[in-house]
Amino acid sequence: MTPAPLYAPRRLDVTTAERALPTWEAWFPRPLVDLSRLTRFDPFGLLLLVLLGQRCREAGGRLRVLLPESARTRDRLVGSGLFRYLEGAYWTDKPLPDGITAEPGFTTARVREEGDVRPIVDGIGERLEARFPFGEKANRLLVGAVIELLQNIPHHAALPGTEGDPFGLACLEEDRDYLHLAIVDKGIGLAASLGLNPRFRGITAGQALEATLVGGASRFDLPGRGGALRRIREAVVASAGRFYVRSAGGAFLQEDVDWSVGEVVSFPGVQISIRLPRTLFERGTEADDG
Amino acid sequence: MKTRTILLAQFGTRVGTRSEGRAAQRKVWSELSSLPAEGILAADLAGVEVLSGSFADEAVVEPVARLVAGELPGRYLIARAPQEDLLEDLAAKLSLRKIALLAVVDGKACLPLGRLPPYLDESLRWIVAHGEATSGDLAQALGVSPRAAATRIAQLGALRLVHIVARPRSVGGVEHHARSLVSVD
Repeated sequence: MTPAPLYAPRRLDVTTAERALPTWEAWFPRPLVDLSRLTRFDPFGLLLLVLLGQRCREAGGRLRVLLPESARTRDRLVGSGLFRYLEGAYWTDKPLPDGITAEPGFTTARVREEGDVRPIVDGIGERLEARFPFGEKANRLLVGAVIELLQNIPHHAALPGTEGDPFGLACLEEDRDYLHLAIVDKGIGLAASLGLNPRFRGITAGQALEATLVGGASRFDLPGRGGALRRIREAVVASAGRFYVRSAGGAFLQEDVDWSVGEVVSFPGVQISIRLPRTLFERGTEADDG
Repeated sequence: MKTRTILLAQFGTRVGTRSEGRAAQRKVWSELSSLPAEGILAADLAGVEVLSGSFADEAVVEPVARLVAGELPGRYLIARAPQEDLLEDLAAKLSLRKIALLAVVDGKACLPLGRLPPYLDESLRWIVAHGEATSGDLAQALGVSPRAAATRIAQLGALRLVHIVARPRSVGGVEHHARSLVSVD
């Protein structure tokens, strides 16, 4: 098989990460990640790169990164915590800049167990309250989604009784036009989790995405379980947001009222991107101004 | 009827995970168990900024399901919230379990959350608005037969959405009064 040609994105986001992934996966566990032309990146692209790096590390390899030519982007990338999460399992074509402080636009955190959820949720909630004191309802929507999605990592991303680390991460970015939340893990994925329920045994990645996000399916047949991802999707739709979930070889995109399921390059775990318009959070301010 | 309040904010301002909800459930159930007969426990969301579906399911919906299943007869659970949108995930979980709960929003509006057939919803709203009703009152107000009204009252009682009191009739036998669990302006 001929490896996919090198892809050097200017932006690393939901769309371009899907284009880059075939190249990265083809060279696993020593992929060459060409970020030389990079000028922007979002939480989804960033966290996908962290997961890829972790997988390489666990497989005895490492990420080989061509750092951005742009000093500002390079500093931002370092400040985002990417290399900290890779814990030395990387090579870069230039030395990493020293003395870079945390990137203020990004809040990144790792979830190892359910007890980690509360401090992350409170941190995000307090930051949203401080930044958007009039966006109570939108803050509530985003923080509620963070609670449900983060607790899914310890509950669903690993097979019961196993000790595999799904490496759950969350990142919130405050952009000029929107707020972007990414929550990812490299665990067993939706189809494997749902497949633990005999009703869903043998389900494909695409079917699992549709069953969970549209049908509200759960791996548990207990009353009151399930429906959280569907509720979040519906709330994002009602807020004119964008919702993207990829798991293994399937991807689900909800934009406006339309949703679609497609095939993507297989990658373990579940990776979620939620983008909400910034105006939702600033509505109170706008009303006061008006 | 005596109402006791449990503040859910004691478990956090942004609640929470399913495990945190289970811890809250133990406290809620303990409070419900210690209520006197005809007692009401109000799960108050004052001070809570976010109520997740998972937390709500464990802390509130599971106790409601146990009451509806027949545990702790004569005890009731309601919700109080400063804003309606705080209750959205709680309502979704109630619907998932096909049960309902009365909620008082901002001390004024009272609404049934969860899944309630329209005929029970209109009956409950009438009882709440009037404080109390017999099957005769309900039959007259809603234009249904007395037997249908009595059935509605019995169903609302079984769902722990009204308290039913049996009173002797002057002409013999007993008459069932449905009493509202909440009083709102």
